[in-house]
Order: sequence, then structure tokens, then C-alpha cells
Amino acid sequence: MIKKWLLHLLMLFVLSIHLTFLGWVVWITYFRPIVRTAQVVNKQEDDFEDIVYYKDDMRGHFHNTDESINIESQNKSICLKCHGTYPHSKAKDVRAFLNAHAFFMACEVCHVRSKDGQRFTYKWIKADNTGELKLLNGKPGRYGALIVPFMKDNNKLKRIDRIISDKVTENYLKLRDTLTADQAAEIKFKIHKKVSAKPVFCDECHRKDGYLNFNKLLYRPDRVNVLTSTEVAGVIKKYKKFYFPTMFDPDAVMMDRWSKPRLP
Amino acid sequence: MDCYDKRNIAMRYYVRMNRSERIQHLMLILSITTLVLTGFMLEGETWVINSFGSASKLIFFWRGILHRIAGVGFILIGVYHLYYVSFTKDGNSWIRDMLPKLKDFKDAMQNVAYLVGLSKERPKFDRFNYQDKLEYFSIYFGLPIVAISGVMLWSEYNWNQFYLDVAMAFHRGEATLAALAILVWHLLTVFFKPGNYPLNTTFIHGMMSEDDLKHHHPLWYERIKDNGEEKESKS
Repeated sequence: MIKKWLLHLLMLFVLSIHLTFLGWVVWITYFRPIVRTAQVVNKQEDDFEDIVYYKDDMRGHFHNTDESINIESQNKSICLKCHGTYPHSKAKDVRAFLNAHAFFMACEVCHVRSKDGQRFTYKWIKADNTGELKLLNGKPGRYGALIVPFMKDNNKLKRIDRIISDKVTENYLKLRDTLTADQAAEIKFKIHKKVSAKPVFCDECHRKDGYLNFNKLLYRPDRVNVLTSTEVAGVIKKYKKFYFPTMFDPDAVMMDRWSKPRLP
Repeated sequence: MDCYDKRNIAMRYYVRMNRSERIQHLMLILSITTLVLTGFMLEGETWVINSFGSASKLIFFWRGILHRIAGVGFILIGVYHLYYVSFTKDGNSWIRDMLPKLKDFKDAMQNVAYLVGLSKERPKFDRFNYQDKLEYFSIYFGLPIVAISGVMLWSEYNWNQFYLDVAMAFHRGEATLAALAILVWHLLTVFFKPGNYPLNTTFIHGMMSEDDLKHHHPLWYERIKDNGEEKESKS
């Protein structure tokens, strides 16, 4: 038999847990401030380090979110043999952005345009070429895989970045000094036959309902939000006068979203 | 019951919930408790989550798995209950007595009048009173909302952000409503309503005493007494 006072005590305990939880649910539903990271923004200037490096895993690098600079190019494209590891050099203002993309995208993603008659499919192919990636794990750009475009050919998906065999290119590099100008031009024409005159530009993908479907590329919705936000696309356009407090920073984007009225 | 049965006299007991109903109710308790706890963890205060240190990642991994398992369980109970009320004898009688009638509306008005002192008589309730019916049918209203929005959030890769935002708003809103309804209404009644304290144990053994039956469900008492439907046991 339970003693009466013990039972009352037990019920008091049940009631207090009950009311605490109840109060908390009411608090988060109606009263909790919507901008949860406000204290980070409101810090004094001498706390600058805390503001910039408020995440431990981002410490140590000026561009403290995207780590593609630290990694080896994945599944290196044959194009890089002639065009170099940093193939984009002409446009000084955006070349760093473009070269950073080469670490996790096949060149053909931007340089071979998908046409309405023939839409390409884009997939993540593992860095060691062992197959398709089914889940994105790791930090942005460090998924150990490369985005590769595929084309439907007799109902089979065919990699576009492997249409011309690597051997053709390698042989050309070996033999190019022995070739006549006409022969060299012909081979170069063949190698570059699929390349579009006008590549896909930044803001064609980095916008809502853009050229690439980031959802189908396994990105989580919050990451898709970052990738399609106006910050990313806009910075390229407004490069000369630029200001990007929230660029590439999911927390800052979330904060921006929280600062707007939330649906109940 | 035990030492708290003040009168300590022999009492007739009537079946209020049969075994299937008690098992369904138990499954509902388990699934809803898991869903509420693991669901509201997402709204957890940062300092609480941080206090778990590196274990918080693992905890949140299992949180997601448990929430989905409990969610599937919740949906299955709903589906089974529809089968139960449609195709079994006890279920048929359950839903027949549960369907809202004009009397419920009158009862509600009279009960409010009684509570504020405008009426001297309490309404006489049948097997289920209007509050029971509201609570019961709120699940019919809530389950499809949380189930559909939950499945959408589960398969988030297939949806556009707009639909996910809408699903999230519905899921969170309905879950909060349901959690508050259970916490404020159902649990406080079961634990702390005078006469029930410390716990209304009907959901465990399924029985209701003749006294309680006469007091809370007089019409039902008359009905099953006349029809000889009662199943009794002596205490």
C-alpha cells in the first residue's frame, strides 16, 4: 500500500512536470522571441572575433564557410589537362567563384547546355567513380563526389563528360606538335563539339526554379534556400559594389527568415 | 479501490472499455507521448541542447527515428480504429453512441448554465457526453492533418519549399493544439478532477462502478440495465 502523503507527493511531482511542460509549450508558441541569434548581432565591436568565428568548425579561414579551397579536385576532368586546375582566368571579378565550382562539378554542367528538346539529368558521381551518391554527407563542397550531367540515349543514361574518350585528348596532347594546323584544328573541333558557345551563368542556377534542380541533387531544403537566395546570385551581378553580410551562411539566412513574421 | 475506497462496500462494476479499446488507448498513449516529446525537442532551448555536448547529435538522430516510428504507429492505430468501428460489433455500438446528436448541443448549453448557476439540474448524459465526443472527434480532425503533413516533411526531397513551409505550419500548429488539448483537458481530468484523483483507472481495467455510472452517465445506465446488456463483476 502506498502511504497517502507519498501519493500526494507523487501527484504533486506529476502536476509540476505537467505544468512546466505546458508553460513551456505556451512560451514557445506565443512568447519566445523570434530572432534567436540576436545576441550574436548585438555584440560590441571588440567582440568582433566572436561574431565572425562564432562557430568553432569555421575557425581559421577568412572565407569561413566554404572549404573547397582545402580539397583536391574530385574525379578530375580531362579538360583540366589543357585548361589547368584553375581553368577560369579571364574574368578577374568572378574567376575565383567559378574555379571553386570546378572542385565539385564537371565542366560540362555549365559548358554543355541542356536544350529543351533534350533535357539533361544531373547526378552526384562518387569521386572514385564507383557510382552514384544517394545522400549528401559532409560540409558544402566536400561530399566526395562530383555533379555530372547525363543524357538519355536509347533510354539509357549516358555521361556527357565521357562522350569523347579521355584517350583522344591524351593522344592529342602527345601528338600535337607533330600535327599540321588543319589536323589539330579538326581534333580540337571534335573535342569541343559539344561545348556550348554561351555557358550557363551563375544566376541561371542560383535562383528559384533555375537551370539546376537543387532538390533533385539531394540538397536539403535549407541548403537549397541558401543556394537559390538572392544573396548568391546578386553578388555576381553587383560585384563592383558589393556587400554580403549573409552570403553562404545558413545561420544568417535563417536569422533573416526568423526576423520575418512566422506562420503560427 | 484499495485503501481509498471509503465506504468499503460491495459494488457492481460495468464494462466501460473492452480489451481492444484499452489496447488501442494504450497504443495511443505510447505513440502520442513519443510524438509530443520527440517533436517538441525540435523547439528545444539552445542551452538545453548544448548541455548534452557531443551526445546531442546522437540524441537528435534517434529523435528523428523514434518520431517517425511513433508517427507510423499513430497512423496504423487510426486505420485499425476505422476498421474496428466499421466491422466489429462492439465497434459499431461504440460509434453509434459516439455520433453527435442534437441532444449534445442542448447538453452543452445546459451544462454551462448549470455551472454558472442559471440551471439547477445537470444534464443527463448518455454513454458519451459532449466533451467525450469533442475529444474523440478531434482525433479524426487532427490525425489526417499531422499524418499528411508529416509524410510530406518525411519525403522533403520531393517537395518544393513552399509546400514544405505550409506542411510545417500545419504540422506544428495541429501538434501544438493536440498536445495542449491532451495536457490541459484530458490529462488534468484523468488525474486531478475531483472524484478521479489520483488517477481514473478505467483505462487500465476498463470498469466503471455503478455509482459513477449512475452519476456521470445516467441515461446509459438506464439503457443497459433495461436491455440487460451489462457485464458485471463483484468487487
